Amino acid sequence: MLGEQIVIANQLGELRRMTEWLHDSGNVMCVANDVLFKLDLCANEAVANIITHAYDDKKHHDIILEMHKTAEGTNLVIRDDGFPFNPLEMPEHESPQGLAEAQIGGLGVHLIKRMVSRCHYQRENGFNILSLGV
Amino acid sequence: MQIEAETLSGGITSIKLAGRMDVQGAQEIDLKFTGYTAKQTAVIVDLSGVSFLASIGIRTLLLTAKAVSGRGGKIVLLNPDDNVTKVLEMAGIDTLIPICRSLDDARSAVAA
Repeated sequence: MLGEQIVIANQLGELRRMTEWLHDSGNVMCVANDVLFKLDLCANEAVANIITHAYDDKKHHDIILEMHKTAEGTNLVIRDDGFPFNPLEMPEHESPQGLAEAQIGGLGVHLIKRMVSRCHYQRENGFNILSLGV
Repeated sequence: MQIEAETLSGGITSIKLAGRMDVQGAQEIDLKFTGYTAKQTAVIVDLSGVSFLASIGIRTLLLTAKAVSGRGGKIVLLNPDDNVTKVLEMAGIDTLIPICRSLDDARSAVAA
């Protein structure tokens, strides 16, 4: 099984480095462009959520991402040591009737769920582990 | 990200965006985008140069669309690429802000 890993810090400024890694690794693994776009979006949404909501201290935390190519497709695994949080349990996003009623925010998890064909969450040894497959 | 504003005939404002509309990209254009559209009632947002759109970028588009619409104006999105179109559709934005495929269609859609 071919795989790649990156460790980033819990700072929003790290998201572009993560994106660069994702595309470089995807190209090495010959992942199709549309699959990479989906994984790029999922990684940006999930990791921005982690950085913004998973910690209440000002300490450094590592967020670890792994990409694997499997028989089913391409998997992205995101691991963090923040508060236990299963994004897959978030209530379904409701489509607004008009611009005036449209809520600002809350779309990130909705987009992740719509983009992936496989997703799984587990809490293990103090880590959130989110596996997303396209 | 890059942002350019242009005034078209008929008092239409065209905003051309280019680059990645992620956390960093949205931060780079947010203030200018709000400024360029602050008093406008006919706005075309050209997304043809946008290669990536995350929820933070959708937030930017929604806030501006709400403001324009709130003052009785019209706003449309012009020519997002296939991937960006898919994100807009999955977020349900295409039902709130029309997507146009040609400048002529966009002009007609925002004309008073």
